Amino acid sequence: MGFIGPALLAMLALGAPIAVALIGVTVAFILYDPLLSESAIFRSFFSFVNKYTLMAIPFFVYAGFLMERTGLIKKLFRFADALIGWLPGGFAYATILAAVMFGAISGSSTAMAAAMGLVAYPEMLKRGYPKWMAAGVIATGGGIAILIPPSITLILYGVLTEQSITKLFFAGVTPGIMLAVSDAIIVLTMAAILALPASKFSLRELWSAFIEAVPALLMPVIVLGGLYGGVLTPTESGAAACAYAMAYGAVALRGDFFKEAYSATQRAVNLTAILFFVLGGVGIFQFLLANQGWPQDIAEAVTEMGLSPVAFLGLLMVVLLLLATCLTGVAVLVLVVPVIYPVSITLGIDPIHLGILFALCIEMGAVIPPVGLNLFAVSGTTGVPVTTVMRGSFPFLCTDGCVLVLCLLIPALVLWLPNLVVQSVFG
Amino acid sequence: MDYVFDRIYRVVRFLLDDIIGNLATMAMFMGTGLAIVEVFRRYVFGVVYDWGQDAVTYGIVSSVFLYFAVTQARRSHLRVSFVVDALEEGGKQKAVLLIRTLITAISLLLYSALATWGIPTVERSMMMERTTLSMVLVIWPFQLALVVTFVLMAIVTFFQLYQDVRALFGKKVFEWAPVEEGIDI
Repeated sequence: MGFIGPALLAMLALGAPIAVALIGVTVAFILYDPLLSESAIFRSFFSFVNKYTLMAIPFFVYAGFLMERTGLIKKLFRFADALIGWLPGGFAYATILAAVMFGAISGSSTAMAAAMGLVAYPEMLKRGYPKWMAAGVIATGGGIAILIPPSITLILYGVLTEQSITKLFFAGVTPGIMLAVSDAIIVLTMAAILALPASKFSLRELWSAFIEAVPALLMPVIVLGGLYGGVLTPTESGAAACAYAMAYGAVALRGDFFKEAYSATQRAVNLTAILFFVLGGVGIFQFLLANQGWPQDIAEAVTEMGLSPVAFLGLLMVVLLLLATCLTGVAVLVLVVPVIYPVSITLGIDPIHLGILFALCIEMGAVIPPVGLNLFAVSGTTGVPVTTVMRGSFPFLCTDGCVLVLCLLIPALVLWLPNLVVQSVFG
Repeated sequence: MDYVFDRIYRVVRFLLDDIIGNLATMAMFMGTGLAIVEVFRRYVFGVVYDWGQDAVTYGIVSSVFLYFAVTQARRSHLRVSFVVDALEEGGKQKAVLLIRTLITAISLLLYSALATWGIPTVERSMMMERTTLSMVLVIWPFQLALVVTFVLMAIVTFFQLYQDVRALFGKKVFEWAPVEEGIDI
């Protein structure tokens, strides 16, 4: 059965839909083995996507799209600008802050980067920022959304590994803040070198921007508050976020609400269909993995090599970053997690720690060429060449790398908050 | 022949884009509404129905299943495209077309196989009156939705295969059909 691995890689490389590649090799395997039943393929697909936990994805995506339609990005942006725009290079940092706040609403990094590209980029140029820096800030700032709850990447990881999504959400907070702070340091350094302008601080402007942004700022409170209090499950908190977005949308958009809500629903069902089709493929592929024993083989090889868990994680991060240069985040997740997760458990690696490291690699992958989705999203919305966006992203990529190494070497950075918060409620 | 296929494919795409796409969107909207009602009922009124979670899950999943066919029609399923992109940029148009045709043919075979293999599962579920976790809802309508989806996917992929084969021979067909490659995740 040595053909399975090469066949899978060949199909993926030739541009087959990921689900088709995963299903294709599993079908070949099952047809080859007379003891296996092909109806297991259909059942595996069906049962893998019928999980209540998974419904958190369409709900958060939907809520994000609905909120986006109400023009809240501009409001968040105005608030962030009023709050810290008075610092040297403060507008760039306001962009990152707005990205973090919007990330807490939509959970989608590329959607965020594209949306911020439309709002922040023209304003940054107007204020004298170089094109490369403006584009780089937007592309990188968007990546932080992967770590900030409700992250679609973390929900997917939680479903694939059957880990607590609430724990994963809280584990992402510290690295997310570390990314934002490291990005701020880069911005402040650049501001000093390039003598970037700062706007004037106005308490009145800050208050008025805050009042305008309150409905948007309440959304993360609902999401995290429900989870923190142990009241809502991630799926329920997604539904609550939808209810809030609908209520807010109905007030903000009035007569246009139904038109906008329909369009947001269509986008949400489209994105969910793309994700769930891949997940169905993974459900089938796991059937193959269980029969082939690849994770066990890898675990054996790692043990024979005498690799420590940290060395294994280091090696894994290198592989993930390499993969992230040519695969999208979701692809990296669904292709690597089912194989690597059992190996990591065998080596005693904390699954929550592993999930955050995956998310960090995917976050970095979003700005690594040639496939970094955020690079193309920002290039597409701003009209700046991809190479220029890459140039602007590079300094941020370096600090992101530092955050990754820190989180890899010091698991407590990732685990202290979920251990403190989630165990105190449920433990 | 091209004309006949064009007319049939227009009907298929109308069915997918305008009927099934809208049905799935409305089902998603209603599923979300039901989920919201469930949250309110549970936390505000303290009333929980056994079938609530299952209705939300299966309602939304069925709408998403149906939408698989729409995303297939738009060729927007998640894929790794860097090799094909590199070939395209290198001017190897013929190789790209050949690869695309091969992948479409494999997809057609798989979707047909999945639809075929799904039928006995649906029949067994009907016969044994299998239910969802809540033991209230019968499961076969949702399984049937997936079978129907795979049938629709096979049909649309058949037309895509025709389109790809014709392109291999230098003839463009179905140029009106919207293609939405790439996703924003």
